[in-house]
Amino acid sequence: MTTLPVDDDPEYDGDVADDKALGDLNEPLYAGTLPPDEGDAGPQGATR
Amino acid sequence: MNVYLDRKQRAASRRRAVQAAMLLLHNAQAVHYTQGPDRWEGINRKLDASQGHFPNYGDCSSSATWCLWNGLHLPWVGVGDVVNGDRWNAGYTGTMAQHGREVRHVRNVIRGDCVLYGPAPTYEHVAIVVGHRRGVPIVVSHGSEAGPFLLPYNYRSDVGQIRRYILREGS
Repeated sequence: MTTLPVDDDPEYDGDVADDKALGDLNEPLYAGTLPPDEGDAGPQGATR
Repeated sequence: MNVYLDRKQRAASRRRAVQAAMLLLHNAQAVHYTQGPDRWEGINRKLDASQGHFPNYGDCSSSATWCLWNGLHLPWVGVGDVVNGDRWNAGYTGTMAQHGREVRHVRNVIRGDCVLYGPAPTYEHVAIVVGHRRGVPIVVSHGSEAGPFLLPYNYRSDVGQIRRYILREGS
């Protein structure tokens, strides 16, 4: 699979237009004190 | 088998991925944070967000992967693991960083894209984009027991890169 950024591929211009047409998200953002992210499982936790 | 997703199919995939992420957000009390093997519950049990089913356990990468699996694997037969490259069996931020394609400009970020945080190349956190507000991408982030949370994508100062997995090439 190519690793070129999608920005350089006109195939995805329509996707951006489709997404913008949906308008803004109206759900309230979290406004409390945010606990620190605990990180990801990492490679040692990669498998199930 | 090569699977190609056209523009309408990609839009449908994004809707389903966002539906899954919002289901996690709206059931935060029942969604716990773990880095143990239960983090793959969503895919192991084939939990379909469109039926209202969601995993009770996950970490940031397994949660984002489950959302994308709902958007890509469930609706389109044959779409392989374009998120982690391991047949939907495994993954973490490091494998997510090796798959999909980078989105360089914030103006091109759309629903279903994932934001990787922390140091390259493996990163340490990921969140999925579920919409915008005044041009700012909004993410669902499951990084702690108190989450998932709905946040602006730059709620952390260490945004590493943004990647897209819902692409024309579905396998």
